[in-house]
Amino acid sequence: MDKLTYQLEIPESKNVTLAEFIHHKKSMVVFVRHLG
Amino acid sequence: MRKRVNEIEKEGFQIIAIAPSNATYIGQFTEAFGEFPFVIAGDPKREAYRGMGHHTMPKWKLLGQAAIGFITRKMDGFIPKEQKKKDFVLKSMKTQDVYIQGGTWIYDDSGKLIWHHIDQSPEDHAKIDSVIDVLKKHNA
Repeated sequence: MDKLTYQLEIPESKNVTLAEFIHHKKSMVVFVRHLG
Repeated sequence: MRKRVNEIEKEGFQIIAIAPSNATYIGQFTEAFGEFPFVIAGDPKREAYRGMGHHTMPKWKLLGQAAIGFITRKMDGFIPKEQKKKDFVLKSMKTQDVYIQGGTWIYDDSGKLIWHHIDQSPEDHAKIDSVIDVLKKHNA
């Protein structure tokens, strides 16, 4: 989990790391090829 | 996946989608396509994509597959009919990194990786039924 320090952008919100996102929550993270 | 969100959440998992785009572009996407029932976060520099081992498909290979898809009509429906959505998809194809491939990663509540699938090509997605099986087995 320590490795998941990649900064992610969220519309109208501050940046978070992937680790912060999944902290204490069971998570399914889906990387998409592109939007649309 | 949008249609199966309830089944995933029923197993106690949150969904996070990550796109190779910036926050502004994600905002434009949700304006065109409507809100999604999960967070969409952006990784515009593709640091997470590359750092976690996601592939960049060679341009010639992707274009070759697209040409075959066009000839065999497998790409019918790829471009939405609704003008706002169609404009967005065409803009995406011109301005975004369409060569990076996706993948699915599942973590438990301590951040431990349970399962993952890295797409080898645009068709090679993790099957949603297989993913839900993984979630159910984890909870069993």
